[in-house]
Amino acid sequence: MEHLPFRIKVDAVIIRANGVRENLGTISSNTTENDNDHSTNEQDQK
Amino acid sequence: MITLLTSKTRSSLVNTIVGSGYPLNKPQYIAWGTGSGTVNATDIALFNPIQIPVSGTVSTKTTVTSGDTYLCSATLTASGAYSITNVGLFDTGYVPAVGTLTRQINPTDTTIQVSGYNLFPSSFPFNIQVTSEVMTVTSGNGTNTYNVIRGANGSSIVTTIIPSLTPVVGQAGYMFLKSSFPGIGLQSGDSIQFNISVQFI
Repeated sequence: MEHLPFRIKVDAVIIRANGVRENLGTISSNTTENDNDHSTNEQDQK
Repeated sequence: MITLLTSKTRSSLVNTIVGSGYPLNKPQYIAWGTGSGTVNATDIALFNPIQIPVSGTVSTKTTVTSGDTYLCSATLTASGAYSITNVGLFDTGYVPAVGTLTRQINPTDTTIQVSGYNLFPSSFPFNIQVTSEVMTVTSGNGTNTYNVIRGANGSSIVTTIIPSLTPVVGQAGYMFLKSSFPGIGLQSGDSIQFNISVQFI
């Protein structure tokens, strides 16, 4: 198992103009874990 | 769906470890783009960057061991309807020059024709990125034509025809890292809060 010396994550939350928030989670990383896991999106009314 | 530290970042981090110091400014500006492509460490710019980079809040966090994580947070707001496909972390808030090819580039071409000539530097040389390839512009005709060295900054020469209207992107500051992902659809007024973290293990 390869161990990377660092872990990069780009986490994102959409904030729609009407205030609705959509948590996309980790949309990209330097590993294959969690990338594009939009299936767990949460939608919260602001 | 991949995020990479750029080649310049990698060498700068090594310089820090070997005691030569970290020669770059703090990365704290986040910018986004709408172009498609695969991120390479040799990239110097985003794929079709849009809008002005936003200064983020930089902090040191603890993920596992004390102070092991760099975090930059910023919220970018769309000025129109966009599909955001990539994001980058920069040391400046400068807006890069963006033109387009007005003629296709063949694999062996060393002359390119562009729109937006006046948006780019008037002194040579400087680097541009076209799709995945970085080119060094060595001279120009003052209106629409550049002479270039292909495959600059360690990038690979594109071996297929690069079509007309492909974005030509200049370098604005130094890109610490670049990240691509499936397009995120936004309407004007929508925002994305980005949290970009680098955790050392």
